[in-house]
Amino acid sequence: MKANTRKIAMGLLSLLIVTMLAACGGGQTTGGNGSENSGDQTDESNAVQGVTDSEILVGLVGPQTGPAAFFDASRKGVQSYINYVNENGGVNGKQLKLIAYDDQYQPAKTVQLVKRLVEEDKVFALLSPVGSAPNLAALDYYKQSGIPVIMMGTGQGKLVDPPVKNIIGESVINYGAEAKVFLDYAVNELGAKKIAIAYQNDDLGKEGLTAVKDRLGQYDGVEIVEEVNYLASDADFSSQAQKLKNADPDVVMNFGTPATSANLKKAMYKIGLKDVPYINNSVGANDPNLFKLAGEEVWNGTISGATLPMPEQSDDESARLYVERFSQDYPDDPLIGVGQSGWASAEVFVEALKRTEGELNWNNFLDAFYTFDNWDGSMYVGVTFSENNHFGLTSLFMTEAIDGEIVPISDTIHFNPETGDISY
Amino acid sequence: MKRILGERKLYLFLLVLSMVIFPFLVGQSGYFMSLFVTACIFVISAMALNLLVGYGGQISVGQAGFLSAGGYAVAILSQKFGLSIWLLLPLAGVITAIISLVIGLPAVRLRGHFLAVATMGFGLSIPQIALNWESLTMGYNGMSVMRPPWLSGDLPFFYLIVVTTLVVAWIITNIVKSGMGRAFVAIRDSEVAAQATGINVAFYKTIMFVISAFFTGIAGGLYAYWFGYVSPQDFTILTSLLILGMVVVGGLASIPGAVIGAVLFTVIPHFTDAFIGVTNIVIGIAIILIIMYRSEGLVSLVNHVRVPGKDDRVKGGV
Amino acid sequence: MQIIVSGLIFGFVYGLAALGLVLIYKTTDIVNFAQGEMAMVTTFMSFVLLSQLGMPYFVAFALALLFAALFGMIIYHVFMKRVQTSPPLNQMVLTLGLFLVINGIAGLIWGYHPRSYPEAFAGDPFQIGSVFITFNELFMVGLTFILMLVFYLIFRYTRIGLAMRASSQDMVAAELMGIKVSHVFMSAWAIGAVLGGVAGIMTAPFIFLNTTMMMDILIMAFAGAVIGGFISLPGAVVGGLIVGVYENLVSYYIAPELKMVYTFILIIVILYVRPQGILGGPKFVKKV
Repeated sequence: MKANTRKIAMGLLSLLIVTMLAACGGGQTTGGNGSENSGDQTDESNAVQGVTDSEILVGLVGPQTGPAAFFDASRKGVQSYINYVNENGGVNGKQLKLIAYDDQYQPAKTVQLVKRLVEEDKVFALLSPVGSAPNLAALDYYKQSGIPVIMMGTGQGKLVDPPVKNIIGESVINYGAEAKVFLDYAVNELGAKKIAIAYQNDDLGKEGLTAVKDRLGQYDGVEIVEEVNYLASDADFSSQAQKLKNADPDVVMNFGTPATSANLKKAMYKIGLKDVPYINNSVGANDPNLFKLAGEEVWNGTISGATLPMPEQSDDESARLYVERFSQDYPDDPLIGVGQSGWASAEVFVEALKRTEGELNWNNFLDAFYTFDNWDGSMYVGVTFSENNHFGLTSLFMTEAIDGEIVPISDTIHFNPETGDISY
Repeated sequence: MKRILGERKLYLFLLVLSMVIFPFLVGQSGYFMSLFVTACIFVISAMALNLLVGYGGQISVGQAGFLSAGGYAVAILSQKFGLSIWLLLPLAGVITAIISLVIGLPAVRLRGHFLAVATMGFGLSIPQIALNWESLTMGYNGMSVMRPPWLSGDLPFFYLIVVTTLVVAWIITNIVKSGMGRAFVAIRDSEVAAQATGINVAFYKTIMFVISAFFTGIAGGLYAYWFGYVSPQDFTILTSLLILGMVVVGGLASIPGAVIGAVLFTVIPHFTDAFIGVTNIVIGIAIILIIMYRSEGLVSLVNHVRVPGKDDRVKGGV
Repeated sequence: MQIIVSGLIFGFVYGLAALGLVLIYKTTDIVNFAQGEMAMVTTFMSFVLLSQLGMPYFVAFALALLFAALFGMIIYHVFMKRVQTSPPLNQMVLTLGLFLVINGIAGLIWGYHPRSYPEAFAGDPFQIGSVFITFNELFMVGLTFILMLVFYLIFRYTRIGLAMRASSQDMVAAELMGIKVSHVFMSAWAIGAVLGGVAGIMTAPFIFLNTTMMMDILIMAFAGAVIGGFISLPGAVVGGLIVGVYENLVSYYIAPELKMVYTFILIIVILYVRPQGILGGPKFVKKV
């Protein structure tokens, strides 16, 4: 009996010692900066950390393994652009150093690792942390610590609306804004009245669905005739396709990820639902790989929107650079959208560093973002920030999949998040 | 006798002392405190699972479901009714225990891998239900959890979690030593024999699930409060499998074993997170090596060696 | 009708994967969590042969299965053989460790983006009544059927099958009767890996080649195996079919987002009524 208690005590003690050892290991790298913690919180405006004469530390958290590891391409895009910047002299003579941790898309790990980046590694800012739930989980800590969080890897609206001073931008167009533009396009350009919607059963799909429903009242006689959903991990879409077909819609809208979008289209094609216009969200469609996943004939005709030009097809200067550098740094990875948005986010980040006036601290850095007014110097068609608009990406153009290429079919369309206006 | 007693007191004193001073050793770093808290949450979960697997011989691959349930119980009740934390933490346990009856009752009739798959389904289903019951759980967006004002600082809450972990460890030790614990072991060793000696097998098997779920639910509640957020992504099937791994790697039917396993699996990522994509490989290799060369679990090392060099050995196992 | 047919087709894939699980379990008493990852590696190997070395489909298919058999043997020899006498729970957790390692290494080698994978037979679907079906799907069904039959016959009527059944009942006694238990176990692992590999190669065109592709298939295969009784080979396929059809019906008539939940409710109900599964005999009351 007694021995048992002792064993427990020993077990718990070893817990402590191991954790402390871990702490000491971490402690060495921070080099006794522990006392500065309290200073950060009281005087946020001039706070600065992670900046030396020669270096700026940048942190990133995202899944590198597990079911969501697909999004790791975003980190690679960021890394690739940082490599490029560093080779060309850095930003204002400072080299950028990226510290990235693997959270496996588990929110608790995200929070823990964000704390590690901010408090132990003392990074200057977070760039493109990946995912909706992980970022939502860390949101309170972002607010509390005041660390600049730039271009999060998601299109989830709640993170940037209402705007918080130190949380700036998302690397994917807001799911809701995009869906509203699609609805407008379907009604005004395609003359659709009966709309069927398929959506992935997560924030990505649901925000799209809700946005369409919210806006539906603005158009006379337009109705939703069917709603079907599916899971990101689904492989069999026959029941969804069947329901969509039975509803006999004028247009099918889908909000999903590449694999599910391709699968749904395949299932629809199989049962003969192939002549109805099919509009897919950009996350699920902006990827030439889809012609391979779904089959070229199946994917042809898919309409979507894009904030980024298709790499390899575009004469955009940064797209060219991206293709050159990314395929050099990561020869085995496809040049798909996720890597692109990582690259483009890093471009926005670096531009803001360059625009920062005065001493490089959090406050000055964050102010620099409000000078972005439809900035087209990055791969994005336009980036805009203001005190009330922290979305960043509010401009897109429509695309159509034609013979193995994703081709622009409209000029830039602007969505104003404050008024809800859509201007062509 | 006196010597052992003295030694035990010394250990307990050292233990409590180091837990108390831990936050100051790491400069009140939010990261290291979170790491420690995560370890505590898994320590509780692993101890609770060990009750089921190690002592009771019932395999469960659904522990993540209990963690989720506990977390959501706290999130929902604090948001809808604003109940106090003193009420909510035990309530998280009670609610999880009630939910566990869904699996605990049919489990009475199941054994081995049938039970493993049924519990796996349970563990997978809870997050799915949370994802789709939007009116209650806010679906994919997850829910934020506010701590009571007097616990809003990390330091007081850290101590609350430490104390809870110690209390749970103490209770579980006593359960194991009680008549109930002996009944569990009897069922594990032979259901027929247990039945013959007048043990109500069905009752004890159900109660095992309920107790295990109760403590895991509390761990889930602590998780919700500490991280301030719960979502359907929090605990996956991998979490369930890892908790099972902690128990087996640490040592079946051993409470210190569960502790060691839980701590090991929490600390490994600290050293591997900076390298791209190796965390799970390292954990996997640790599991394989320990099972192949230390089938009794890591605790068998501690049992053989006394204080000096103990931790070196534990680390050597990695 | 289309719903049921599509469900059946997926059911066959679950059935194949379940068959591999059951075979390994029945012979060696191990619930193999690494089954899905072994299948994933096999599928990737076939992909490498197909697309990078440009081999014809069926050559790549055969070579990949050969690889799978070897892979299964290696796993057995390097890892499982050494813990053969440990409690089943230890062995199960060891396969969990293998799962993590294989998945992690595959991720380092092949990355995590989905790739397209060719079907055995390309071609447009044709229509029978109101049902659309492709030739590839027919091939899949046929293949599963043949494999099931072959292994059932082997298990039932050949010496190696007899040896497998004997070893599964009592390892020591079988050894004493002159059966090389380690050979028997090794062949179970090899065949199990091959069956998993076939399932992987068959599903890859649907869910796209990906290092995490087998996770959900494996879960459904477990469901199928359990419904079928876990020790019955035909039971595994029947269980897989039940899961496939049921899942599709739920997703059409009730709610696609909850099909996993409904599937496990079904399992619990079935097991509550019949704790040994539909085709599991009383033999399962072995001491665990």
